[in-house]
Amino acid sequence: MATINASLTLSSGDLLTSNLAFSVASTLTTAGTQATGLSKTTGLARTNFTNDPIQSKTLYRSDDALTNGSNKVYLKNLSTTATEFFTIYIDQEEMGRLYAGDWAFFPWVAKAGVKETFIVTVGGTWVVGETLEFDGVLTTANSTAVNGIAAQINAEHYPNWTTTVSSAAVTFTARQSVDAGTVVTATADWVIVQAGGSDATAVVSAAAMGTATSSDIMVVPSVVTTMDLEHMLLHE
Amino acid sequence: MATTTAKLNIQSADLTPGMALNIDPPAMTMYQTGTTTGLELIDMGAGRLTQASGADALAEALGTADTTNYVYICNTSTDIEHYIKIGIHDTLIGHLGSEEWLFIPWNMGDADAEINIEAEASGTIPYEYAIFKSTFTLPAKT
Repeated sequence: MATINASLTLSSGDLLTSNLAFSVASTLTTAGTQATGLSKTTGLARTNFTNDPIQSKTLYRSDDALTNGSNKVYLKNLSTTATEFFTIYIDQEEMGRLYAGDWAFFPWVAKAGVKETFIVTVGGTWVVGETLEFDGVLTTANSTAVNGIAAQINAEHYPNWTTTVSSAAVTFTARQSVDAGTVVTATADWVIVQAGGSDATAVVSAAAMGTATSSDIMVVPSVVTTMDLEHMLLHE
Repeated sequence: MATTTAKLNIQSADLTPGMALNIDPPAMTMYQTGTTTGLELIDMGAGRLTQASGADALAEALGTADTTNYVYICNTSTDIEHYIKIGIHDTLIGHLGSEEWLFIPWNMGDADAEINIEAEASGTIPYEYAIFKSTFTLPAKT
């Protein structure tokens, strides 16, 4: 665990007839604790926005942090042109505009969605050297045993999926929660190149549709010319 | 015009070992929308929330759309079980734990952009807030 302190000082000598001056300080801890500090972070980052036409970027996905955790987000518009701003959205809800030099610091619920899953079961008779491809990953069978081939599939690193294996069945779980409207993965997405006389199969079953997250943080710049945003996520 | 500043500091000596964290930007001056003219409207207060009261609107979006506004809220409870749900209309932003604060920009983009707060956990949760505004329309007389 780490010790992270965040403080704010608000002051004005002429907004009111009396001076406005107050300060608050917090030690950032995990939800419901006082002694366990937040210990995970994306690190301090700087993201450039230069797109014509203007395009939004998803700064943080809810999958990046613990749902209902004591997550904190820091944002700062590094522009020095007074009229330039970033519009900050939580999911589809606009929070506000961050003008040049402005910063924000707020808790983030990181409300997760559901990740699509499916099971692919290796079957039939395999010949060493046969291949199967999914998600851009090509696996070459180094065994004739279906359990061995399933283990090979599980050992791969898929760009969009994580895996676990049990006997000849490999369970795939999407890395991101997305609502595709339908189950997107089917047996036809697995391309097997069989050797002559082989009847190797990889059959998809138990596919379950995902649902989208509902608190991704999205940012939209106000101009097409270059703008930079400094940001950091501290999370559970 | 007024000069009102907000100064942030985030520090940690051990979050990333060997590389102490010290976010210490210059104090930001709160300007009216897209200008270098200081904000002159403020609404400050303090209150107490109970779980039974459900979600309450801390502030209605009664200003002009697409303007600069800032919201400060602090959960001043010292009970670690006490946290406040912070939302904008139907969207939950996050949970503000005891002795935690937030500072965010707020666009009163439409009538459905109210800042709402809701106590979680039983008991009474004290809070304080300040809202700095570019424009504001007082509620109509009844």
